[in-house]
Amino acid sequence: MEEVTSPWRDRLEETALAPVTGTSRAYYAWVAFLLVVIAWGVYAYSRQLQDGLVVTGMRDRISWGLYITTFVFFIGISHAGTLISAILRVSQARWRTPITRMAEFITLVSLICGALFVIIDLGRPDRVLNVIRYGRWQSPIVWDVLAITTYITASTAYLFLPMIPDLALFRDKLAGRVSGWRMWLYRVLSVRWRGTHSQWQSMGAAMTTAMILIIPIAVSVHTVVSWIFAMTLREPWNSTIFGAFFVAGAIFSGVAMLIIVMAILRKVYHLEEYITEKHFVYLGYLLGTFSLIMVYGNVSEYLTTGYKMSEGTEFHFRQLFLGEFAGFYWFYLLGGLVLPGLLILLPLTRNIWGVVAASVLVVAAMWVERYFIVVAGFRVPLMPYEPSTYAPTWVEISVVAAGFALFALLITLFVKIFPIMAVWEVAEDEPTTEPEPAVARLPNGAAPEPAGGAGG
Amino acid sequence: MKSIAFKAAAAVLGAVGIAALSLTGTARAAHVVVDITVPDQPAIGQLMEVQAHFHSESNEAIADMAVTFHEEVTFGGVTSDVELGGAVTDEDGFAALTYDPRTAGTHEIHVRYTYADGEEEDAVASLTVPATGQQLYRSTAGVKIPGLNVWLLMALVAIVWAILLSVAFRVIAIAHADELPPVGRAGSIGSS
Amino acid sequence: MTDGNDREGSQGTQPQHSRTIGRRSVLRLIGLGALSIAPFPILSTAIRTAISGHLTRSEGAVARTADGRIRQWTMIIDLRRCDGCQSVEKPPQCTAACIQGHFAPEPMEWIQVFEGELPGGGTQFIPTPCQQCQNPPCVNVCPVAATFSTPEGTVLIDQDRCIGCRICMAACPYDRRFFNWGEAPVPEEAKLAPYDAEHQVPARKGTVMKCDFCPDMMRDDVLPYCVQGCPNDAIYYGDLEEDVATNGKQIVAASRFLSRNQAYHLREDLKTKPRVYYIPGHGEDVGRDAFTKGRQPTQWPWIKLVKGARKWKR
Repeated sequence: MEEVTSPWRDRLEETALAPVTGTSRAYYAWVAFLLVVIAWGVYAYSRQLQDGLVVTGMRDRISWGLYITTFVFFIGISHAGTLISAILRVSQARWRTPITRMAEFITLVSLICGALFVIIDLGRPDRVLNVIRYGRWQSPIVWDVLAITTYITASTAYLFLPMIPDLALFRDKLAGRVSGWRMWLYRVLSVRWRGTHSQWQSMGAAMTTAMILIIPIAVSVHTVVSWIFAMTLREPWNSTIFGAFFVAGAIFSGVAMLIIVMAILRKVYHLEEYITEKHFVYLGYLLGTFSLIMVYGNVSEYLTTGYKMSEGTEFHFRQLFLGEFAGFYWFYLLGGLVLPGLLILLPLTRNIWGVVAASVLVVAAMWVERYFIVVAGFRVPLMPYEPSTYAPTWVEISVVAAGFALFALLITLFVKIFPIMAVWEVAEDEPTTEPEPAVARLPNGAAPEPAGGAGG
Repeated sequence: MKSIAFKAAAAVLGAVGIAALSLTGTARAAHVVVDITVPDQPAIGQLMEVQAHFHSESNEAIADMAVTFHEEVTFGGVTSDVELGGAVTDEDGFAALTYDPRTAGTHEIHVRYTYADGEEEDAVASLTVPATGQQLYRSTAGVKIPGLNVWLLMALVAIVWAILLSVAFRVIAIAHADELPPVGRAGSIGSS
Repeated sequence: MTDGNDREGSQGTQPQHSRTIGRRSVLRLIGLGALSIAPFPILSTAIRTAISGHLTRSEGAVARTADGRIRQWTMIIDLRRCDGCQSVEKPPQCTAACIQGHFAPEPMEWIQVFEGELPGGGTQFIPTPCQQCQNPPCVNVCPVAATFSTPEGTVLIDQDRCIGCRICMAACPYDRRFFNWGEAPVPEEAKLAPYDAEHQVPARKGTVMKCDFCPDMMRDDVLPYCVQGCPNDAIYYGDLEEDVATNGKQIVAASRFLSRNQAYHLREDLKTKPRVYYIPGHGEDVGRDAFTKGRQPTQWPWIKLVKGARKWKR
């Protein structure tokens, strides 16, 4: 490459290369901890395979629990990448550039974890291929399989394509500094990228296609996930707004998860120059907007059903607002929707800390929301019998913990191997320098450095 | 009381949308004469009338008498008398059963009545229904809207995957691009 | 934003293939796209619909009337005669007979007697088998057609195909589907029984089970266990094609019996179109007062004969 490299650009590249070249003890400790949690979860799952789902707390009356909750939660998180990457790319918002890579990777990892939980929930995972062999196109589960596999494929493409120039950068700059297999990986995955005009054209065309296509795919994914509930006749689920409501919730939780991952990676890998308070505040605005949309969804749903109080609604309202699930619901509404909205709204708390705190609340509250949608939905009696209770067992809790650990582990491994930021896109924001009229002209060839770097 | 049933040949009356009736049975009891008419061309699943005319030997109509219609049926290992329906004779002494036969073959329809303070009496008529083999009961669920079926979904999925494949081909194109002098970051996505 | 699909045509020394997509490639792509989803159910669906013309399956020969029409099984439960077996002071005998006859694992009650509240405060007993819906929510959502409708109108489950996703259990509005959470106990006599969807023994772990309406018994002119078991002859089993139903003692003309007695469906508003009808009542024909509440709890005596039987709660 014959470009002129500036100190700013060099600093950017070194920051991007740093995670790959050095590994700290803390890193190993973190990975070891995650592996222990995952191993325990694998053991718990082996007990489930041996004895059957009776080792969980699910029974005939409440036949889905923690596993489906976590599945829906992870599929929701997967909307992080699409929103940030695709929509901001389509609208050409420049501030997205340092965070697109993380967002795209969170999408892929959460899709994998989500899909795993469906299989974990099956009574006969050995027969999972029956969905391919005998699948019925009329089934919401098959729509799910179609949508998620399409989304995984599209996300992989959408993660990979803009990464090609960065992989080429790694290939060129990391020789000798990393192990042989990683060099081989970069060489293969950078598909002989040289930065030629035709290659940029090809990548540009592919990116355009992918980023426009992935938006409807992502919307369809969480819509069909919501239809697993909305295509049944159970009272709290028999609602037409489930599709839109779940997509809004997905984007909401996805943005929050992105903020959390962004904050952690920024701290650990010293990305402060590129990911600044502005990014947190802008994502915070998105978070705040979606919290309002979620409040609107809640009001829509509960006001229209509560006004009529038809079959099952009274029981559901009592258990959700006053009874067994009241703690969950009010934490979700007040702690997960109203409070984060306030944190974003008030200028006092509209900073990195405020936004990250809001995001942690949102992620917790959205998992809780999926929980009471599933469990409280099942609990409404269909015939005259006493309502049951659901209490997750150690098996379910262990497996869910392992799922989250896997999520964290995959991200941790990713930053060790792949470029953490879209270097070539961030580089386009290199602050240009203009000689001010009052300053004496500098000799040719020297470029004045802007103070403080490119951030802000 | 013995009931006497015999087939009487009769001319076919004009069919006016309803199967023609023909006289098939007459019973004589001590005071009551019952003339039962059944349709001439019964068909499975088609509603028809079985009419019983009650009159005395002097052709005086017997009105306001409760009448029930029966048949002996075998089903599920049980054989029993089935009540097909009931009626009360009108002022002209007619009582009718609206009935649709559901099995082919010969049906023996019994008409039971109790006249005044007498015992229950029985009159029989015979009805032969031809077999059609056509399924009567069809469960219907759903509305067929032309074009709105799973093939639409399959087409949609196929199109999306075709587009994804085109993206994959672009990656291959990158790998096989000509060796031209490298260019800077011109022509990339998102340049404002 | 640059347009990646530039249509400069042949220009300079740049070859066509790396930049433009011609018509042939587009066609190739769409063909490959269609092929790429072939492993998905499209092929099996196409073949199945081509062969059968409709998506119902049958296990073995269907029951037919004398002139060859397919029987359409139905059940009519006369609630005027059901008192929850209070008069015989036993657990509901329809349930007991079904459990015994099918070796239903504990806690499955394929026909379950619910006690519903009546306006005014009394209660009625409602024996509830699988409603054998004609618009079945369970069949509609099953991803692998493990639960399916038969030409006789019954809804069956193929436990050899079920993947245990339990969306059918979420979909059933009558609480009539049961899951084999653990390994269900199997009595010695049933261990070598040939499994089929109308004879659900031995039960498969991790799959769904329910009342199957006993059509295999009716083909041999034997009434189902629940019909036989009822001491008050409250349950009628019939055929809508022949318009006839019997409770073991008496035969009725089904359409007249239903119309005359104001028969209704459970949860009629859901439009699942069940094959099970109910005649309103509270056991008054067998001497029950509506305010005599409670019935004996269901038991699974056969389980005690199987060593180490696994059971769970509903």
